[in-house]
Amino acid sequence: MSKKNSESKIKIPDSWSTKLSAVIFGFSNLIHKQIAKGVAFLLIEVAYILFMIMGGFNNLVGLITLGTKETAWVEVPGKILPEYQIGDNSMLLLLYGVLTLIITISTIWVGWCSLKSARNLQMLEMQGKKIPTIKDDVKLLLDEKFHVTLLFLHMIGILVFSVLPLVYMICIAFTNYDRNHQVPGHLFDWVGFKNFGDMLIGDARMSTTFFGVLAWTLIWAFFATFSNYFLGIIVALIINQKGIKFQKFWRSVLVLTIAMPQFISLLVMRSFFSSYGVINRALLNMHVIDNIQDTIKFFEDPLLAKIVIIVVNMWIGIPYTMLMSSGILMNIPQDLYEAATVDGANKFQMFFKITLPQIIFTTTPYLITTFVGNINNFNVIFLLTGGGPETTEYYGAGKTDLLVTWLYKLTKDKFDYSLASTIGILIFIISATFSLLTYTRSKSYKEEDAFQ
Amino acid sequence: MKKRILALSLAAALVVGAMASCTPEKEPVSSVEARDITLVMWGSEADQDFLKETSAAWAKDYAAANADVNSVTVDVQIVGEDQATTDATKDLSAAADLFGVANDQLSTLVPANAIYALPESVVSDVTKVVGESSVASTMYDGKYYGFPYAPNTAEIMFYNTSMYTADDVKSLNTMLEKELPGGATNLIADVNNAWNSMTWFATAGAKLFTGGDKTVNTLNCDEAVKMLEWLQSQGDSGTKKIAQAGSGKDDAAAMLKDGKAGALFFGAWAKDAFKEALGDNYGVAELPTLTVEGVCENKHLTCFGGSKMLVINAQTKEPEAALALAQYVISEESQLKRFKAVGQTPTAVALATNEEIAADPAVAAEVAQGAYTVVNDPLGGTAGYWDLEKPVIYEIFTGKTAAADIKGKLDELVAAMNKNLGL
Repeated sequence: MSKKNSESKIKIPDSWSTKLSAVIFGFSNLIHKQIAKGVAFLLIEVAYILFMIMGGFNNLVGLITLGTKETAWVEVPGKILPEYQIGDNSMLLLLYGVLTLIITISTIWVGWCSLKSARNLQMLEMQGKKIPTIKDDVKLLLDEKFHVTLLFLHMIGILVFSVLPLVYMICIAFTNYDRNHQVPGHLFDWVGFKNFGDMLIGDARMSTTFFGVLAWTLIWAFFATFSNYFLGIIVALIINQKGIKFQKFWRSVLVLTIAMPQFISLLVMRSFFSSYGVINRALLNMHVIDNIQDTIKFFEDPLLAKIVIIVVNMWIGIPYTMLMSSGILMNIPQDLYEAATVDGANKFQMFFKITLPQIIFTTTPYLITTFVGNINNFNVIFLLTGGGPETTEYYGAGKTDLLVTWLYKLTKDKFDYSLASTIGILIFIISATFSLLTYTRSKSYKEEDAFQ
Repeated sequence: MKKRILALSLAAALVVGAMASCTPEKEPVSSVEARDITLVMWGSEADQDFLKETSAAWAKDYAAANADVNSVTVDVQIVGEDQATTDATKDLSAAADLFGVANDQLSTLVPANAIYALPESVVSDVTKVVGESSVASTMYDGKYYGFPYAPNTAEIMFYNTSMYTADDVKSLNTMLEKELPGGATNLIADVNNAWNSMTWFATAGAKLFTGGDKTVNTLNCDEAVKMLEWLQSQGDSGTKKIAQAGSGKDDAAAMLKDGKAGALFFGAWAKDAFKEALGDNYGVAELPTLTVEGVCENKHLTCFGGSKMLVINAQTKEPEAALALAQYVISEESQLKRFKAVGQTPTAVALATNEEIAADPAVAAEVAQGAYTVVNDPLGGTAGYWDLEKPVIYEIFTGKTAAADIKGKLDELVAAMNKNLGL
């Protein structure tokens, strides 16, 4: 270990072949008779240069300009309809530009590898050691560096299917790709941080919407998470009480709600609570209310709609927490309770000193993921209220919209892709900050080994 | 090396010569080679059979009539009118040559340069078939874009024949004066819906972007204010003669079924649900007339109208063939076939008096209501009308907005829409 460190610290002037390797990839490998490796490096460089000449360079220019020629109609004499002349497509230019950028970065990385390999060869030569052949390299990849072989395909996959779309989507937040700049008819362009500025302070209606929706998103996430959590624990405690008969039966009954696909239960609930739904009709039949004007408008009053959402969500979520905390409760050693009884502790003391700490310790990470999950809980809101009731105060959002359903509406109905992307980034920042802060402060993180 | 080039060029010359000698034998007359045309058309799932038959019939005629066309194939695919705009703008080159959309989609399609504007000669041909009002709905920014094949669900009236006679339903004032059995509400209407609630504005004579003009927005005019004051006086906070039709179709049907309401204003598209709910007491008619002091006198209630229409993809390789097919699909004969096949209310003017069509009372009511419509201009979507109008009128109707504040609320509404249009 120490030897290796001291070796790399000595500054060796690069030989001419190493220097040349920075320009001609694999040059050093070739003159050191590592033909296969050298050719591979060289081929990658040649392929990249060819790609850049064939169109890659134009892609990079396109990434900067995002297109200059608008689509136009040209009259053709003798024909009824004019001819359509396709202009630049900013969306495709952005996509290809990002792709070219990733290819360029990958090639630079290959070049760096070639340089590293050249220095390595220079070192081996100076020390008079044997230059590894292709056979040795392959052996190394199948044995000592097997992880590299295994991960190679995955990394390529992640790069193409995750990183590329992600970079592309993030880029859109910095453009004006909205309903007035739709491809293919129009071009869109870079606008820097304007969307973020508009969203947070610049545009009064937009920032009212953003902060209004954000406030409800956080309130919702808080209530949805903790109501389910504590009620779930209480239900589990009741079922696990000594002396309760048919424990398994009660547990199964509650779990039955999970058997029904969530979106079906939500749609059923929606028609239950509608202004002439089952509940209102029952009230009418019982003569609690007299006519159809006085029905309870569950989804038309903002506050009532919010309460209904949280209550319905409990019905869907409690069984999950109940199951999980049942598992934890059954795992708490009974001797702890016996010892506490001997010491004269009462039920409440036992709950707060033994049961609750155990549950919280195990479930803090779960609580955090649920909270973040609830910030992005699309199903419940979208299927139950669709974000309504609408309001003139907001842009494209209703009173019960979460950031994520607002994002959906902006994309699907308004075609404001740049705003949607901006919201997406803001949601990420909010949930990432929150998760990191709370998780690193939790006991489960600090005292990882404490739980037996 | 030289030898090889020689050999290659000889071989090439041979092939070209052979081809050249072949061609004249096959096509002795025409100098231009006849093409094979393939058109792709999108339509809703219900329309598939009709569209396939119609386009197959057209394809034969078109190939026979055009010397430069060898054969025509029309590929009909399932992409409904609600989905077509999204799919088409995603990648125009992969979209169908012809597709059906609702007329308000023009505000997305035209700015995206996604479809052909129609030349004047074609527009006048289309007008001859479907009439001025249908053609007006295909206009955007002064140009015409589509071939309307269906009116977009005008609002009509469904009523309980055991509560109202056919004479009663001619006037809304008469209807509201009548005491109904079982304390049933006189009328339920979908006020909490931007499409159906436009009726109250339109009847008051308020204009919303008539003729595609951004500056024409008079939703806050005095007549509209008075009309909404009247509506409020009949609503939850007033006489309770008019009530909100629940949360949509299912609620409205249940209210009619339970005898909680005597009549309903609703889109003709949902007619089957109300027919089933009312059973033997099923009655349907165009909207009644209304007299409100200072606003209107015995005026037919006027509702939003629009159309579903075929548009031509700007990137189609065969614009002329697509044009011909679209004209064929909206022709009178094709529309009659369509009505027989799927019960689609036609746009063709000549069919309004057709006996077979008048036999379905709901379709007849829809056709009759067609005379009392204002065009749902695509600019409404751009201005955010759909999100903005709904909460305003519903809060007025339920009495949440005081009568004195109605004018102010409507001013705010117009201001917000103007802002969205950049005015």
